[in-house]
Amino acid sequence: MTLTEPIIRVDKVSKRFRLRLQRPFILHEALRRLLLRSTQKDEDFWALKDLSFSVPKGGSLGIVGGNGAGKSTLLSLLIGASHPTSGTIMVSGKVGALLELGAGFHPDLTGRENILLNASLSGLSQSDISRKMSDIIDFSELGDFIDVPIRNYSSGMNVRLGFSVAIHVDPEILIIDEALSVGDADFQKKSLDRIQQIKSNGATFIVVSHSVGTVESLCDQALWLDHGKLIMHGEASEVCAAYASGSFPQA
Amino acid sequence: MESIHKFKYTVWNLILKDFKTQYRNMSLGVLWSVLNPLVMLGVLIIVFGYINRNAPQENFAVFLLLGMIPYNFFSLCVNSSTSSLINNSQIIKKMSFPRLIIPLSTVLAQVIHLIIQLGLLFLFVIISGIPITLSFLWLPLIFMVELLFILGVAMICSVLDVFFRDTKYIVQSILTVLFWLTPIFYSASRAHDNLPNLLYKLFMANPLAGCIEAARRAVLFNSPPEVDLFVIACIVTLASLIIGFILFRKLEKNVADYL
Repeated sequence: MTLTEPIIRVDKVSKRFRLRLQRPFILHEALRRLLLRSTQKDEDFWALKDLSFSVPKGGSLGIVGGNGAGKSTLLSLLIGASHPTSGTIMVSGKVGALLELGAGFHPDLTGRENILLNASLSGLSQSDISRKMSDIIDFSELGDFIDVPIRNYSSGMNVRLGFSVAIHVDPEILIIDEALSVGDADFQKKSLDRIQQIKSNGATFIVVSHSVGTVESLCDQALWLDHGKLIMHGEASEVCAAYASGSFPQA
Repeated sequence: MESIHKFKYTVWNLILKDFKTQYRNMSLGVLWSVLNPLVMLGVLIIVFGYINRNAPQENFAVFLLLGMIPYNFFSLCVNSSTSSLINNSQIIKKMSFPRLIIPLSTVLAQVIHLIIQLGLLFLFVIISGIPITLSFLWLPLIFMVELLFILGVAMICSVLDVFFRDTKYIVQSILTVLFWLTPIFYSASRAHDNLPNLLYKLFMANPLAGCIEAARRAVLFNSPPEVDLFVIACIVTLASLIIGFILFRKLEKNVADYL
């Protein structure tokens, strides 16, 4: 029994990708697999291996690690887009997420139409969305571009819109992946202020970043992943210091 | 299922999305929905009404439309829903929601074409001077059965296409085969007369054939569907829904990993 009930609990989670299998499967490959079954094994790739941690309600967690560490895989498991091969994940609360550039946007739709689609997919009701529409547009600072198909947007505009939707769905858990680094300095500052505000309202916050500075300033806990394994989990400052110096802690 | 209900507004937004993206880049827009069948109708009338005069039907245009409209709707829905999960990979990979709403909304987005083409049908009914009778009330039921059959097929094809990308091409081939093996430009009675009984049963197990036949009886002959044929269509429809639903539920968990 802990004092604060965890809002996210990840228990012995592993995620396997089968390199041979996990691409859409073509007939001649299926035949080859059948014939070579005895001699060739699937090349298993474990993007995450036996990962356990929890995040208390209102806590904030930064995830650091190099390319291919399993950070993005972990996020897609947390938002429920993908499912673990083994282990369990419990996430109890409404999630607002911005994964990579332009979370779930359709290039042919305008910014406004994408807000509708994206917010309703996040589980917002029609009345909630129409109430928040102007706030979302204001925050994104897209002005007249809001009625232009987003395939004409720059990557910075894309992120501004994605971030603006993510923070306006009243998330109990806010998940941001790198993306913020794309916006300009003013927008970054505004976003960070808003994240602080959402955090102080009691929301849980998770960020993935290459930048140790972002994690240190925004998170109280941090998690260091390397090749799918948990290297270190603890105070943000300690984990970041260890990660920055590249020294693996003594296990 | 209740989660689908929760996402009602999302389904509506996805329908609008499909509709807008489909026509945003075309100047004639929704008019295509009328022009396509008119061109096809003209060709079929020339081929089977003049060149190869072996189908001397009364009200041949209406007869053809009653075959083409259900087939067109089927073909449009199945084609678009087969690639629907792949086309929506951007939102599937980045958000969590019941994947079923993707093929569902893709199919529902095509209903507008059905409605427009039914309008065209009624225009031809009126021009041909066919009396509008109470038997027309069978039409909503008939198209509902077709829609349900399409949903079953859409669930199967969409989820299979993610794991097995050849599905799309297999579907296209089957649609071509179905164009000839569905009573579109000939009547089911000709199949009845010229096919061995067992093959004819197989021929009518295609719910499209059952629906087209029932629609023709209602509009052209002011009579209800033939019970056993329509029941077969309903049973096959139910089977497609059950198989589709089970298959989809079983595979949807891993869809994001394969996109």
